[in-house]
Amino acid sequence: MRKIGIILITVMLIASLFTGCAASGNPAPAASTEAAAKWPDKKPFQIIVPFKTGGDTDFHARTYAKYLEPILGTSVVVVNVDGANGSAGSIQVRDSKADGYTALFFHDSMLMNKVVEVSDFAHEAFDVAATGIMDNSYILAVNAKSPYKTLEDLINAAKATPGKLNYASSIGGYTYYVGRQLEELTGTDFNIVDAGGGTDRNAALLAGKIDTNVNPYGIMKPYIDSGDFRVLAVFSENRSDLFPEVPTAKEQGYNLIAHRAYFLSFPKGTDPKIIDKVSAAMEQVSKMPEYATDIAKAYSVEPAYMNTADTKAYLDGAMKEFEAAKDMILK
Amino acid sequence: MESLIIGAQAILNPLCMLMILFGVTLGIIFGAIPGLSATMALALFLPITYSMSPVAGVVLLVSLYIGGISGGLISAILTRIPGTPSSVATCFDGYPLTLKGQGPKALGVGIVYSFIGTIMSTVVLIFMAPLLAKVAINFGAYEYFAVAVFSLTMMAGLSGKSLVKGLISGFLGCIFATVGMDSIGSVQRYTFGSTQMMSGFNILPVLIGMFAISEILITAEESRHAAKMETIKVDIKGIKGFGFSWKEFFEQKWNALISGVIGIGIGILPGIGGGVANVLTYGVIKNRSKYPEKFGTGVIDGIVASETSNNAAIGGALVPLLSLGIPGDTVTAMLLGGLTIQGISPGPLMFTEHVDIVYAIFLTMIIGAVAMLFIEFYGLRVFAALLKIPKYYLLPGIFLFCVIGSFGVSNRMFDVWTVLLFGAMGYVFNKLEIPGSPFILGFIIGPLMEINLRRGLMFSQGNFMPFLTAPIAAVFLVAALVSIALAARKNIRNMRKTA
Amino acid sequence: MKGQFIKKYSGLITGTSFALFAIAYLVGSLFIRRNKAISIGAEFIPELYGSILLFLAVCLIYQGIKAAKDFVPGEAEAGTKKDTKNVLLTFALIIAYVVLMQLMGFVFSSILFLVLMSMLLTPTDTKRNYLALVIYSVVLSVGTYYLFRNVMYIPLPVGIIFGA
Repeated sequence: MRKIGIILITVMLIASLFTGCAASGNPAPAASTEAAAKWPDKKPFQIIVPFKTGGDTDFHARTYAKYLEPILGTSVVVVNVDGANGSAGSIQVRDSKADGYTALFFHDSMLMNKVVEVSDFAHEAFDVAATGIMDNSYILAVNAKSPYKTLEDLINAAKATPGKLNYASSIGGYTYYVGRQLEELTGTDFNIVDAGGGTDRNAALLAGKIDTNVNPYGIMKPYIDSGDFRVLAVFSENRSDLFPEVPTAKEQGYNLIAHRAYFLSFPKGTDPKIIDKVSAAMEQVSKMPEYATDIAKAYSVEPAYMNTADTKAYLDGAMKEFEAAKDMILK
Repeated sequence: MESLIIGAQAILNPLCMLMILFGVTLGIIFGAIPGLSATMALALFLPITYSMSPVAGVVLLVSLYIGGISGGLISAILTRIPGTPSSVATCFDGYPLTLKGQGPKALGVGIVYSFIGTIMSTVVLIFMAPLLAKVAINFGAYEYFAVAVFSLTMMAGLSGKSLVKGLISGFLGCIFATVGMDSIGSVQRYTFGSTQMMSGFNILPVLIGMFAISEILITAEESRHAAKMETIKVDIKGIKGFGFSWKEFFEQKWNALISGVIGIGIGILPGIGGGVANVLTYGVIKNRSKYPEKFGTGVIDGIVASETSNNAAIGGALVPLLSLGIPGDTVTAMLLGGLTIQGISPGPLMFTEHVDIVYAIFLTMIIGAVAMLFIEFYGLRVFAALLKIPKYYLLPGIFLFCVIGSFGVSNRMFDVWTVLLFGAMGYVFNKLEIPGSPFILGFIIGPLMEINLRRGLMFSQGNFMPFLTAPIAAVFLVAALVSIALAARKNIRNMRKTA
Repeated sequence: MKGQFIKKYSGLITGTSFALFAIAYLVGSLFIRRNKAISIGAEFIPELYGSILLFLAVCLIYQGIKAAKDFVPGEAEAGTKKDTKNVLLTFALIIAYVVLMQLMGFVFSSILFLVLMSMLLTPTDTKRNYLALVIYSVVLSVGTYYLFRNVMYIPLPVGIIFGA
């Protein structure tokens, strides 16, 4: 009997605690438009990164968060929800409340995940806000001890020995797709192998276990600086301002472009006013010189802002491209 | 020497010293509380270092790392619940000692050998990092496959009474690790169409379940019967120094050396980490011991093996990180992230371009190890006093932290459910007298073996021969065969003895 | 009597359960998507593990049969009475706690859990100090919630009911 009494008292105690909290902490939600106009209303804005702390996506999200805070006038909290190559975090955001306080920071892999059937949805399940960074620093590098001086040298060698040169990438990943495109474009046949993530591939290239691989410049930078690796091409429209000595693949006669957009998206049904507000803030950040210095120092990329409509168009285009190449990616 | 001075200039200031003290203390706390781990401590503090100076940031992270790996021994010895994956094997002999009333001695041994392990690996890191990196780089898929196979044969040594049961435990570990997305083609395996299952089971919740939750359930079995619940008596006043004699210290010199070397080796090879180092080393030390039957009843050899090797793995893991820019596990991956964000990219030029950072890390490890020694030494009495808290308060509280810790791994509820699943499994294992440590080995090494087998076959385009003709790989495969043969011989002998 | 039976055939029962698990696992491997690009696919290793486990389970069954033959029914172990009911209750409580957390949030469910769990684990002859227990539970739950959610930004569940 006494036991029950105690439990009752506990429950009441807790209940009173909660009503107290509710009264002070959370004001009753007003009409949605009014709430949207007030957003962010000093409430913390949570950005979900679908990868672990310490990676490139995490870095870009946190750098953005740092500069967004003073502009939005509220705390911007980055939360890492990793798993299933980014799908776990995406699902969490997709299923959260569309009140503008939760957003997802992800990149093109969201689309690739749908193509390789890791997830069954892509950007169409979200209200896309804007793109903050466009990484077009994808480069192709070889060991400096190898005889290949230009992209053409490598292609010719690959043609001479089909299926012999090792090109490293994770099957079904973005650089795998780039490698397959290169094969199609030049009519060559590489031996595509898995040699782990970006940093593992550096070691493999250094030890001569693989012949070439494609990665963002930032990942290979230490080895390029030390003279261990030779960069043959960057897969972008124009040369990068950060490493202007590297010729594009295009100017060497191979029209291949690779890029990855880091964009912010909200759960479906978020008030457009909120999305506009965030997009405008992101545009402001992308123009800040100290922001540009930060990302150049860490990952050798330049800021590139795309507004909501452009981002949507870009993602739709990319999705179409990936879908068309589905057989090639899944081979 | 000059570099040492540069490093010293960078960190010998009040701010950095405070950072070390703070980092090590907090690391120990995170390590000591089951559920929270060194990995979590780093994940939480990494974003905070973004806005610090590079030296201060890296000093804090390394201090957390050292404290976190060592702190796990406290709960392992006092409650048989490992504080972190790195101290699972510390429970095996640490807790029996506590039951005998020698808890403080066990703690003393653990603390001293954590210190020795850290210092050993730091010395190796300082003097041999570039050399070892050159060796490590020659390890490709064939070699890693062979190392993995060799490590898996250690399951036999960890099996205890029944070899069959030990192997079942080990292969169940391998089997549960296959759940989720396949590491090469992102093919789904045993996910039953659930996206949550696609990322598979994370090692941390699995270990929390197997070793912490099962322990709570075992206590529940006996707790009603008051006679069994006597709080363990710990004599604090009687201990001098670290609670063990110089004679015992010198008796352990070979054990410590071997454990240190294995720990460093495992640390250097990417993908294995301290979680395996302690269990594997425990198996090795037990096998070479003159009295293997005493292991598990409370001999300090077991604590020496576990605690020396897990801290030695720290220095080992920093070798490929600093000299090649390759992170071997989640913790070093976060350190890499922390450095990258500061515009420092570890790699071939690290030792020439960023001497200050490199030596700041070396010095932090040494000073951090000393700090750890003192903090834990003076904390010893506090830890032992924690045992006075009745278990019916302590265990529910521990469970609360297990929930927070597993939730914090990826900030999702799925990992909490994982804890429950493996908690139930750990309890059943206990009932059936199936040892848990081979399971860990299988869970971590199994995927390593698979991925390298398949990568190797991609390189060789389907040919198995390179696995046998690559010299390093061949050596490890032969060693694996020898290890299996020895285990088989021992098992047959045991059978004859009992028959 | 029942205890004796389980004891006699324990090896056999365990072995059979593992064998069944291994077979289920092997059947499951048939559903793994095949990929022609890679020489050994994602299904190969599960097939290998499954077969090994099946073999080991058969060994265990064999040992179990032998042990059952040699089995000498002994006295039931005196003294250590195992309280299986309490284990099941504890486990049920843990599950309820996790379910409840998603509904009512971390703080509320934790307080309830701590109180009930302590009561389950308290020895029958120990006098309970309810006041201390409630204070302990409330302080620990609220304290950890504040520390981890507001200081370290781990988004512990707030629950559906109070999550407005």
